Amino acid sequence: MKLRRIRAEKDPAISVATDELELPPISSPIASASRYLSAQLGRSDGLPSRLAFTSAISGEGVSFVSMAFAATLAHDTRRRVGLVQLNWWNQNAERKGLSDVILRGAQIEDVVLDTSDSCLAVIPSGYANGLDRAILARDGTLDKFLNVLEDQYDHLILDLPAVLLTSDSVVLADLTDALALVVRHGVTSYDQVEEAVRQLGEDRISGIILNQEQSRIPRIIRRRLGL
Amino acid sequence: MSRNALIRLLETFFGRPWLYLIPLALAIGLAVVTVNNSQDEFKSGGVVSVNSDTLLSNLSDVSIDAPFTFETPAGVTSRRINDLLGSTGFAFTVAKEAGLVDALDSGIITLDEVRTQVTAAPVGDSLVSITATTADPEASFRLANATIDSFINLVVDDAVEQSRTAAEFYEDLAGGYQTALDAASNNFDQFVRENDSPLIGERPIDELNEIERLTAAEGFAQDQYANALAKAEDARLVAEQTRLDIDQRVNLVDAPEQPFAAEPDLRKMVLTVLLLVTVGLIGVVALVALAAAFDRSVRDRAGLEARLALPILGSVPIDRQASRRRRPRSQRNEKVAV
Repeated sequence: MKLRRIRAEKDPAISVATDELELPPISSPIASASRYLSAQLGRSDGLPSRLAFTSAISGEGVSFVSMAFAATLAHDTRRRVGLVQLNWWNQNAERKGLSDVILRGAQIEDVVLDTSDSCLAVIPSGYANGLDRAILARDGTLDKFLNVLEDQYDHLILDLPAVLLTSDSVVLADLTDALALVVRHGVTSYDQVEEAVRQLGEDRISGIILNQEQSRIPRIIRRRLGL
Repeated sequence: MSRNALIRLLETFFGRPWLYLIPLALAIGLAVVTVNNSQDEFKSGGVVSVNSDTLLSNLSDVSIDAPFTFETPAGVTSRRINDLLGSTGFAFTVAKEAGLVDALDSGIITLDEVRTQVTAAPVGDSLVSITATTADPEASFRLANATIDSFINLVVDDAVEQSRTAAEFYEDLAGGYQTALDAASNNFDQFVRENDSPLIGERPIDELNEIERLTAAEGFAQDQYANALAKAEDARLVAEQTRLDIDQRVNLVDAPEQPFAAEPDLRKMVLTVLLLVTVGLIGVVALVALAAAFDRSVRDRAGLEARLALPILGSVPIDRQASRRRRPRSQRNEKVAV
């Protein structure tokens, strides 16, 4: 118990929240997992400049995983990381964002939210109705906008909507260099994951991230059985 | 069982352990209720020795000359008693001997209950313990006595059956011979009455011949009758001798006594508890297996890797600190920026 307390004190959470942006701190285990993901994703050709996270169904924790990944990446590498939220299905209608830049001519500087970490910025999705979402995903403007953002940031982390929620996510997935599928442990079914993989295309997915993985088997039993 | 299946079963169980333990809890509860509600039982038993060779052959059909067997005389005898209790005839005889016919007729007790209440078990190589266990001490005592008596009577009856049959045969034959003897005597008397002896001189030669024939016939009938009687008597003597022989050789070591206090049947209680707990455990395993079979959610990396040709990049553990920081329910519907 004492060892745990010392370790907790030595590994503080990564906090990037500001007054205008509500971001939960990234605890040490989450940051460690994000580092592991970063190492796995950048194993062959280095970490791609555009990296997207999506899931089969909504509520899998894609937004949290992409935020944690972006925050940890910015914190550790001191490279400029932009977290681009493209999930208009999980949006804050009051906050301006990407849709306002593309559809309503807002300035990009007005929508980019700086965080307490100077290397990390968040570009919110903004508000878009059903018709606008289809246009945003398909008319090519978004890709140009991302190209502009690529000049400003070393890495763009894209938060995509769930694949089985909308076909837009399949189109949006084409805008990325690498794509990771987030699967929530104990919630998403195998059939849903298989269907999402089928829709996205197996060759386009870099790998799978198990979110909120938590074994309910007591540690002593796991050790005894070598699980 | 594959590793993946084991993990899945354990994950399923430890996900809601109290739910899956319900069958076990019910079984334990049922076991406690069963043990608490079990009636006091009174046990009465007697011990019979079957170590006599002659008795052994009579009681258990095992003779000295029988081929080598691992079964002891007591084992064979106790098995035979239990087998006999399975028959309706013997079970009814026992119930009748025990004075339970009225109870049987009125349905208070059944022959099946009689069978389960009486058991015979070997005690060593040559002793057989016959025990009756009921909720009534008097009934236990009478059943134990009745079983021992009925069994011995059955063995004796089996042994003297041949002699008894022979005696009955010769008695029937003697009856016929007696009729023939009476007829021969009557014929002789009638002939003598009808043909008085002459006052002077001898009877005519034909009368003498007839008298001689009738006398010979009467003598022959007399011999037949006496012979049949002698043989019937011999058979009766053999039967009685066999009966006495078995009676003398039956060694009732311990006669049944009426029990005064109920005996807690610890073995039965333990067996009941063990049986119900086993059923409960089977129920737990079945419930967990059923739940695991219907649970299609992703629960382990190995299962996911086995089904998809995609690498598992890593896993993000559940954020316990975030769970502790969870906002009040009233604020949960507000949109979060990320």
